[in-house]
Order: sequence, then C-alpha cells, then structure tokens
Amino acid sequence: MGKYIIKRILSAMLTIWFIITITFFLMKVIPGDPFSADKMPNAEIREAIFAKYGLDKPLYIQYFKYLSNFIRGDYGVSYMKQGLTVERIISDGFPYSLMIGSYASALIIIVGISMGIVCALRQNKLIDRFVMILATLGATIPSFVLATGFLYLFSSVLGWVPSFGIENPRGYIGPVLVIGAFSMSFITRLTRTSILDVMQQDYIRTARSKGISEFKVIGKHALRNALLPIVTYIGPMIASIVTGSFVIEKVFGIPGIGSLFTTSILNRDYTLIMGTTVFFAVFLVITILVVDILYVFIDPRIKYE
Amino acid sequence: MSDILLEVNNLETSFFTHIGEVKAIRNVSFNVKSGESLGVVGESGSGKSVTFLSVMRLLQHPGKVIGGEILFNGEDLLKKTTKEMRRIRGDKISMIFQDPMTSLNPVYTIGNQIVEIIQEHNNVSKKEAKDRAIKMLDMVGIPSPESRFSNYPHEFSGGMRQRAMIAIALSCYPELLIADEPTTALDVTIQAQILSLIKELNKKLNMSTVLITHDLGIVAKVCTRVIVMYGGLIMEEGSVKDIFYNPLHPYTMGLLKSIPRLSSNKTRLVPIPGTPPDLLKPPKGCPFYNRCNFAMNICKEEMPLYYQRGLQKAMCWLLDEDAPRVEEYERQKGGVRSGA
Amino acid sequence: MSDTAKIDRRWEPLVKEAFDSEIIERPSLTYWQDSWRRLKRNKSAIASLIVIAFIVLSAILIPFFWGYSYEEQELTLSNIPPKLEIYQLDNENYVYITSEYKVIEVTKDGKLIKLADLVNDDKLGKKCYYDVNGNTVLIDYSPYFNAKSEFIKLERAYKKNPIIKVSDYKYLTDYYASQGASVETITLEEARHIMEKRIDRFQVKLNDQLAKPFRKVSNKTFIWGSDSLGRDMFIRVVYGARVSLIVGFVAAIINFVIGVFYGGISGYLGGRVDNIMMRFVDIISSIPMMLYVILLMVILKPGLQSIIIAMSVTYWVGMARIVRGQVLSMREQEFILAARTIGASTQRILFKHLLPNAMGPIMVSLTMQIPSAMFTEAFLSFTGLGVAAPKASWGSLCNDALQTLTVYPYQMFYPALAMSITILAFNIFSDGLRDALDPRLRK
Repeated sequence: MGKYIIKRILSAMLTIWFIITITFFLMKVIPGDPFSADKMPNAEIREAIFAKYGLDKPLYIQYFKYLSNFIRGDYGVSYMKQGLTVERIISDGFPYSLMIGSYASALIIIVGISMGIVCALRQNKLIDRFVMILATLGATIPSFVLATGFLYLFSSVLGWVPSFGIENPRGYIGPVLVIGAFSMSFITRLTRTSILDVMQQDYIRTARSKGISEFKVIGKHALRNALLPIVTYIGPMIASIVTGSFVIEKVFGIPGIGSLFTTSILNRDYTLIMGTTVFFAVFLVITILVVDILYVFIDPRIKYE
Repeated sequence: MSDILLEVNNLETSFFTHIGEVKAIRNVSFNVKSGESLGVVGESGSGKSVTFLSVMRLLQHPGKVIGGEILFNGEDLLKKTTKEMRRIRGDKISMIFQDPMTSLNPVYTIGNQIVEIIQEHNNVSKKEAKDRAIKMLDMVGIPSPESRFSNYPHEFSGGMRQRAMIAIALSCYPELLIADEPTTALDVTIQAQILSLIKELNKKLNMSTVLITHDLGIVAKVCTRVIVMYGGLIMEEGSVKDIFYNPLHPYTMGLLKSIPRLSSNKTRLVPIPGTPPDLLKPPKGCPFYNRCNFAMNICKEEMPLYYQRGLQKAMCWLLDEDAPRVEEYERQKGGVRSGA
Repeated sequence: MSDTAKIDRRWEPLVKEAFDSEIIERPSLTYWQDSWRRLKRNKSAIASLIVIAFIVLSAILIPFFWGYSYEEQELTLSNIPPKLEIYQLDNENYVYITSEYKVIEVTKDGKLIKLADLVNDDKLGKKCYYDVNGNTVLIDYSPYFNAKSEFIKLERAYKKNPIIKVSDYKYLTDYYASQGASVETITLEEARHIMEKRIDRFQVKLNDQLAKPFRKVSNKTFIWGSDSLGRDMFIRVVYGARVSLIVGFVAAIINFVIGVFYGGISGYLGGRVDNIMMRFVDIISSIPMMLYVILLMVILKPGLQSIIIAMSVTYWVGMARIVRGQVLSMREQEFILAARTIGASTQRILFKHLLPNAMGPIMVSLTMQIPSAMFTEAFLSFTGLGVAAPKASWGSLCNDALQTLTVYPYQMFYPALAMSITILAFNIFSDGLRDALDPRLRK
C-alpha cells in the first residue's frame, strides 16, 4: 500500500510541474507587452522587475527563474494592482471561497448521499420521482442561470436574501446552494444507482441469509460498497466547485478567488492569472491525491493494482 | 433418526412480474429428516432454488409465497414475524450459494463476516467469536486459519472461498444446511473436495443437508434421498439407489440417460429434446408431456397423481393401473424404441 | 359404450405437433432494431428528440424570414419589455412609459411607433415633457422620488427614535389624506410598504389631465422585448441557438473524431504503446480543463472558432478513454478471434467488427458531450470570453442581461429558458439512448 501512495504522490508532483510549465509558456505566448513604457512609467521599478524575473533574458532562463521563485514561494507581483504581490492577493481572497466551497461540499455530501439512499430504498415511489426530477433540473440548468434565477426570486421579489456580498450572513445561502446544486444532483443520482446496483449483488443475499437486520444489511454491507464510485467522484466535484466559483462569485458579488481569476483575465493581469491558475490547479491535484489515498482505505481490492 | 426436521406441504410460490404471474412453484410437498442428506435435482427453471428461497423466506420482490405451509420443527415458518425469521436464518437454517466470489462481501475480511453471524445469534465477546471463527475455518479445511482470518475474499482461491462460505454458514451449528449448487462454479477436482466436505460435515455435526443441483452425478456421491423437480412440481422422489437403478418417471430416465459415462460400450448421448414449459402459462396437465417419449392423451389433459412404489413415488400416468404396459404402448405407437 | 371408448383413448399415445417442443416465443430482432423499439417506447426520450429537432429547425430557418437581424440596433427603442402597460392619451394616441421615464408612442395593440420628442427635461423637479402629435405629455416622477428620499431620512431617524409620526413626512401625510384616513403613527414596515407599493412610480398627465393605465398588451414589435441597444431579443435568442448548437455539435464531433482515433489506436495496439498513450491522457485529464480552456480563450482572439479550438484541445480525453475501454474489451471477445481465424485483415476487423459493437457507449457519450459543450460555451461567454459582440450566444446574452437583472428580468429569462430547455432535452435524450442501447445498465 505504501508503494501505491508513493506512486500517486510522484504522479501528482509530475502533474503539478506540467501545469506550471504549460501555464508559463501559455502566458508568454499571449501577445502584447505588459511592460511597455506607457503601462509602467516608473523606469526604476521597471528595471527592478525586469531584473528579478529575468524578463530581458532568453525564455528558458526566465522559465527556470520562475520555477525557482515558485518553489521559494514567490509568485510575482501583480501587474495591474501596483505593489501587491500575487501571494497577498490570493490569500486575501481565498478564505471566502474556501468557506463557501466547504459549506457547499458538506451540503453536497450530506444531502446528496442521504437523498440518494432514500430514493434507492423507495424506488419509483413519489419521493423518488420527485427528487429525481429536482436532480435532473439541478444537473442541467446552467449554474449561472440558477444563480441569477435565485437572486431574482429570493432577493428582488421576496427580499429574503441580500443581493450582494456576504456581510449579511444570509448572503451565504445563495452561493452555497447554487455552487452545490450541480454536484448535489449528480451525487444523488449516483448514490441511488450505486445502491440499487449493490442491492442486486449476491453478497446482499448472503447477508440476509445470515439473519442480520435489514438496517445492518443496508448500512454495513450495501453502503460501503455503494460509496466506492461516489468517492471517485469527489475529485471532479471539487473541480466543479472551483469552476463554479468563477461565475457564482461574480453574480453574488463575493470577493473570493474565483472572481479574482475572472477579473484578472479580463484585465489581462498576467502574473495574477498565472498565480491563480497554478493555485487552482495545484489545489485540485492535491485534493484528488487525498481522495485517491482515501479510496485505498475504503476498498481493500485496490492494493493489488 | 427419522424425526422430520422440515416438512413442506403444498407450497405455491409465484413471481408477479409486469408481464404476468409466473407460477414458479405450483404444489410442492416433501420433507427433510433430521440428519439426512437430500438431493434436489432439476433443470434451470424447475423451481428447485425458489423452493428453498421460499423456505428461508428470502424471496425478493416480485416473488411471493402464495400458498402452503413450511413446518420447521413443527412450526410454520410462513406464519413467523420478520424478527422471528431472522433468528432462524443463520442459526437454525443456513444457506450457501452458487458463486462464492460474488456471494462474499469484497470489502470485509472473511473473519469479519464469520464473526458477524456468530455475534448476531450468540451473546459472546469479540474475542470468543474470533476463536470460534478460526475453529470453524479449520473445520472446513482452510490451512493456517489464524492468518486467513484477516484475509479478504479476493485473496482466496475459488475452492477456499466456497469453504469459507461453508464456514460462515455453519458457524452457529444450524440444524439444516441448504447448499444451492455449491460446486457449479468450481473446477471438477475442487468440486469433489467440497462435496466430500459437505458429506463429512453432515455426518460429523449430525446436520441435515439439502443439496440442490442440476447434476445427478453429484447427488449419487453425497445424498441418501433424491427429489427430482420439473416445471415447478416434484416429478419423482426416492432413495438414491431407487432413483438410479429403478427410475419411475420418464424425466428421471431421461436425465440418467443423458449423463456421459466413462464405459467401454460406446453408446450415444441421448439428450432430452425440447425446452421447459413457460410458467407464465403453465400446461394444465403434466409439465413434461411435450418432451416425454411415453406421453399419452391424458398426460396433456390432466395433472397426474402421485403413485407410490414402496418408499419411492412419482407423478406419472404411466404408473396408473389403467395405463397400458410399455410394450403395448410401443406397438400402438408403431416403431421400435429403446425403453427404460 | 362411448364411455369406455373415451377412457381408452386417454391412454393412447399423444400425437405431438411438430412445434410443441421447441417454440420460440418472439421473433428475433437485430440489436439495432431492438434498441430502436426500446427507444420508441421511452416517451420522454422521444419528446426530447422532438424538442431538439424543433430547436434545430428554428435556429436554421427562422433567421431567414424574420424581420430583424441580430445586430440591428434601434437605440431609441432600447430596453422595452415584451409586455407593455400602455396609457391612452386620446382616441388615436397611446404611449408606453419606459423605466427611464421615456415616452414611446405605440399603437393600440402594442406596436411601437417611435420615441416621442422630448420637449423639456426637468431633472431637478423630476419631471419631463414630451410632445406626442401636438399633445403635451408630462411625466412626473417626483412623488415617488421624494417619497423615497423621505423614507431614507425616516430610516435613519428611526434608529434613534422608533416612533414614526405621519405628520413629519410629506409623503405619508399626502397618502393618508388621499385615503381619507387619519393616522398618527405607523411602523417602519408600513412606511416602507407605502413608499414601495402605494405610490405610483410616475404620473402621466395629458394636457394637465391625469391619464390612467389603459391596458396591458404584448409588444408587437419586439415579441420578446428589446435589449439595451434596441436589438430584438427574439432573434438574438434564435441566433444564440445557432451559435450554441454549432458549438455543441462541432465540438462534440471533433472530440469524437480525435477521441475515437486516439482511443481506438491505443486500445487496439495495446502493450507499451497503449501504456504511454494512456499515461499522456492521464496527465492531461488530471489538469483541470476548465482553467486551460479559459486560458486558451485569453490567448486566442475571441470568437466562435477559438471556442471550438479551445474545447477540442481539452475535452477529447473523455471520449478517448471510453473508446479505448471499449476496444480493449472487444479485442478479447471471441468473435474477434473468430474473424481473425478466417483471415480477416486488421482494418476489416476494426471497421466491420469492433466499431459497430463499440458504437453503443460511444454514441451515448457523443450525445452527452453536446450539452456539455454547450454548457462550457455558455459559461465562457458568460464570463466574457466567448463570442464577441454583436454576435449573440445564450451565455453572452445572459451576461449582458446581468447588470440590469432586477429592472429588466426578461432579458435574462428568455436566453436562460432556451438554454435550460435545450440542455435538458439533450440530457434526457442521451439517458434514453443509453437505456435503449443497453437495458442492463438501467434500474
């Protein structure tokens, strides 16, 4: 098992390196020079930046400089927001996104899985059909439509939630719900299918023939097996929360890292774009790594891959 | 020794599917005596597995027992509550199934799965349960049981897995073990081992066993009495000797003839032509009529009665005193055929 | 006599009809016929298919005969909603008042004529005067405006002193006077309620006479309203359908082609080649694609082509994986071995045996990629990275409408609705397709 974990960690590191490299070269391909004289009038600062990042040197030197800076934790200075380091900007915005993302994840897992179980056990009854319809809607209506619809209904028309920002704690409801909607729907459907599948298996029949209670049959025997495909979905789920955040934060006016990313793109603030992209990508890779390792503990068959 | 442990009377079970009611078991009566080893033989669809799933009350939707009684130690299992039934399953009556790989939960150790059933029916500590489990693993012939206790099903070979399943089933020393095609998914050599094991445990633990199979050959090795099922009904019943040397029912005869034998006479394999009846619309007469070499008009019209010959009985019009003798029958049919 | 004869016959041998033993109940169908039958029975899948066909046809045909193009602007008629509440001035003249207090001349049944001529715009006194065919129309929005500013003062005063005296505030006094009621104090909620709901946003006076709202009609000029630049929302949504559908289909097809080739070759060749190719796929798929699509969009110039390129570069991996999985499992199947035994060439094996059998999951995957691609495009456009103005895509339409969501919700509603219905239809159809092609998968 240790070998498997080490292999996965190495693989993750390889991916991260790959990400940094691709992002770096993509950035250099973008036309336009952000350091032309009119954008950065102060010649001293310009020279300092040039020297620090090796911007007047050939590409591969710049690349290595970037890598070494990266490892040391220096991600550069924002082009647009004078004087602020990328690191600072990200750490300012990240906590908001993290909070919303965490609440959303908790919601997705708790509500999604429970609903899935309920629907599987009451297959084709009213609650099953109802929840399945909701899940289908949640999975197909685009997140920004949901977001704006939510705002319109609950803020404009009903006035129950603020229309902007999160000073009012009620402001969390909208973003958390909308970011979670897609994944929650998916997990509900996935759990339902998975449990239905597992209940058809022979070992459930064996469990019943042992005389144990139905509750234990489902809770002990069925559930753990059913959870396996769900755990594999957690990686993509986090990814969708992250990408969802771009739009949701914009619509709800949350100063998180998602809206940071989109504004940096629109402003063509290159270091910030790079910093946030790499940050997101690394965050995802690490999350997936953790999930993969978790998976090994749940399914004993994996050790022998 | 001749105490009757399980008595099934007029059992009827149907599956209420969306295309209609499939009458899987139409009127089955038999008994299992204490300590005996009963073989239940039939093709797929004959109802042999469904009968015992009904006994264990493990039928899942859309199956339902719609008639009859199942007396275990004198008590009707069909009248028991779910809770009472759970206490019987695993403790008094156990069942093992055909494919041990899929019948064992892959994410728990074998040890865990045995301890589970022990602790369900007995108030013992975890340690004691573990000790009993290891003892059980040893009894079924699994080497180094202490270390095997913590292995997962996928770490066992096919034969070992089936032994593990037997260990689970027997860990509470049930009075009746039902083995549903336990060797069908295994290699021939392993088959023999498992069958020996079952036979040995049957004697050692003085436990009744029911061996369900489609293979008559297996029955000869392990069982003392045999029931032959077809189309949801029992065609013939008798001791192993009687069935093999003096079969009464044409279906049994057909089954015997279709067993390949290693003998020096080169005889042709004679399969039984045709397919089993559609239980959605079962025939009103004998279910075997359309495949039987000796079918008469009455066979198609009326359900045969059971006729007794000593301790052997069969459901066949041929045994009626009014039925013509075989030679007469052959003459009427016009042609020389190989009789029983 | 006949009795014994009957009994005798019972014991006579049964004459079996030839087909008694081996009746096969149903005629056998090919896999595709069987699947098609199953699909036809799935009502929601068929309904979705019809919806999709309808949308596709509309997207193709409507622009040809519709009066407006998606980029025609008419700035004077901007932001007019699809349902208008019109005022009658006299027998021939009807007007509609926009939320910016502009006067639009309309016909009785809702056709827009033109923006009326502004005579005087009194921003201080919160009124404006327009000329409509010789009539002077006054739009007075001061009552509401004044009420609103008074309310703000009221709210601040409330924090210090929770008692609100009606006599302190003109709008309240006026209101209660007009009601003929005499009230001394009220609650904050009541005060807010009066300001928001009881006071007309504006008053329309024709030659000094108060005009009352005449009736609500549907906008006959712009059936779904007009946007901030006076463009017809309907045709823009239809045009958006074109863009979204094109992106969906083309991206899905390109992914399909690349994926099938890559996955097919990888799966068929197997061994080391397969290993390396899949390693590459693994690395690519562990990188969050959305980020790179966005980055690519930043680099390439905005537009339809760029979106398709960006998506094709990144999303083919899913299809490649599925195809490879299919090929791998097919390869081991016995019928491949049988074909090889009779000497079929590799190409023949691939095309005649492997692909048709693998088609099932591939087709399902394809139909699932279409809504996925549409969603991605909408997402990109919504973030501002998609098609460039004046081209419309559903995502960019939603983005445009975002700013004025509370005032002009219809601008968001129609594109959002169209998009949701289309994606929903595709999803239901692909679910149904999957059920039809492999019923074992369904529960």
